[in-house]
Amino acid sequence: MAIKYTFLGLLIYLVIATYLFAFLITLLGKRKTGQWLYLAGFIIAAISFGYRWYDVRHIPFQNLFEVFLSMGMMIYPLSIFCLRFLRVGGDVADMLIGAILFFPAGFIFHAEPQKLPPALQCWLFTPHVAVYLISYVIMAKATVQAFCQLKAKAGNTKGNLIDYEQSTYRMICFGFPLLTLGLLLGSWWGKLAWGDYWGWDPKELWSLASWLVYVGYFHFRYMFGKKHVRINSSLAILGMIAIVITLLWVNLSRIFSGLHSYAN
Amino acid sequence: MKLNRSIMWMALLAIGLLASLSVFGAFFGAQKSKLFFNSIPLLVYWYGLALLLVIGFVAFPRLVHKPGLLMIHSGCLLVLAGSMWGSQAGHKLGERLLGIQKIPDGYMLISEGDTENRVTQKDLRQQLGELPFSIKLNDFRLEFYEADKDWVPRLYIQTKEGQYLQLIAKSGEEVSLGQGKGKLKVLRTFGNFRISLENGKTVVTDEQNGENPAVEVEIEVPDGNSYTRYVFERFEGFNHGEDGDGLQLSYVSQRPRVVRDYFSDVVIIEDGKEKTSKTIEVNHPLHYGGYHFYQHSYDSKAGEYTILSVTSDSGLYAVYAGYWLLCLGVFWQFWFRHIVGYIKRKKS
Repeated sequence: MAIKYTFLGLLIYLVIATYLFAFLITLLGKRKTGQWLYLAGFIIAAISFGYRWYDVRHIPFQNLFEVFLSMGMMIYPLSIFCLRFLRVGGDVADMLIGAILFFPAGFIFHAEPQKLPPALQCWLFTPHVAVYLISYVIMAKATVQAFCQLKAKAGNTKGNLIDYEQSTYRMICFGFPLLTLGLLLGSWWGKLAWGDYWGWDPKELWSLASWLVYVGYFHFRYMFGKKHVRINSSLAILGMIAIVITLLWVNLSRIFSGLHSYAN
Repeated sequence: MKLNRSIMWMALLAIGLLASLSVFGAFFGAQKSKLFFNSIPLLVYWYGLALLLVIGFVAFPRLVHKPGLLMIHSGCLLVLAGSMWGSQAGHKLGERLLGIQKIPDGYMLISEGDTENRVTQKDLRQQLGELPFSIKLNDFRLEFYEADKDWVPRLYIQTKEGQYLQLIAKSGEEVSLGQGKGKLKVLRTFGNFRISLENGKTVVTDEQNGENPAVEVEIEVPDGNSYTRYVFERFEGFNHGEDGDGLQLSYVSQRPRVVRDYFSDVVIIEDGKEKTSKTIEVNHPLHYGGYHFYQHSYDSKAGEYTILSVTSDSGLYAVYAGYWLLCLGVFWQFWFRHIVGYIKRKKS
């Protein structure tokens, strides 16, 4: 446990509390109040993100503490975008996802600022990490929709404007180009920094595996359409499991030592 | 129709197999994985995958007619072709068929003021070949981040049980060594520790001239007794005073300097003439004569030489073209196609 007795720590705990409160209030039927609290949580999250950026003098994407802080901040705008433009709901679950994303930043990872090592001082650092983080949050939303599809009875689209299978597909269609862009930008950056666009590093291999699971999802869905919706949803969940391993296990476990170990 | 279904099943199998092999390879580290993915059985897989993509274009007209799908699949094909061309086997094939002699990758150690064209293996001993031009190292230098002004001297403690503790090295600061294990207290710090014998007694002083940072600590054991130890920054492991308590202490009086960047000022010499010059740094390689040169390592003791890694650019532009196509393809297929359709629908 790494409890933070700092101003940033206070902001993080406030965000967790606000997101959780918003989630509970919405579950109790007070949707409007819940939405206002969700917005308030986002504003505090954005302040904590900006504060961290100012404190470390670079965009806070360097370590797992900063990564979770950033992802927790991204959930609200993505939630609103998906509801308005993709007609995919799940904003109540997003409040909980927001709190879950902030939890490791608040309680698990250390917040001690670190200097950027030479390899990270590249213009590709920001777009590479940013597109990956956005895609991860979108895929997390897709996973919630996939779980709902597995649990829900046919035709039940509670809180959603389209059915769960379709909303899972839309979310993956939204996130997949970003996941691809993240992979390719990383490869390009690898060529600039280390001399090879593909180094067979554990992190690279796991990110390729995550990408391939979604490639498999598209091919399977094209082949069978909505004949085997449960398999479609299971593949979406499998993709998320691969992402979680890529983001956490590969960086934290000693089994996977490699070029990305600075992300610890 | 049956054939198309079989091809799709094969595509799914190929995707699943590559995903599984990637997970498998991740457990072995980069070096072993590279060997594994370049082994003969995997070469068969890569050729099979390329063939499957070509068959896909023939069997599924959709892959040709839909711009997004065409770009995605032809992008993947280009990446495969480019990476095969850039591999060790691709270089050998290029030499045999086209007479192009290139070193796929290697390393160069160049001392300041020296000119070098030999490329070696990673051990810097076994020579792989010579470049048709030479590289002269004019200067190698390091740049450090500014030292943290808020840094305070610290004492790092590892207990007998393996617990790590740290303490601000300031007189009066103390830390518990664990329940029932006693405590450690900082008595004083020294900028230049000196010890001498005066009238048969050891006298410890902090002298003006010189540098020998040290800290004097008092360790209180559970039975109430205490003893003193001196911890030296520059002679880690040498602790003057009582020992045998299993405590490992180290003292850091100045924040270790963090490297901001490495720079190698080089000049390319070909046919006795200076062709180009560049400062190679991390993320800023030099590209010349079909090779990329990267800052790989350096002389950490005296800073008198640099080690550059050398990579051939064969197949690289095919890979990059594939990346562009793949990227444009996925964005067109999943984003822009729908946005354009939406705008068209709205207009009509």
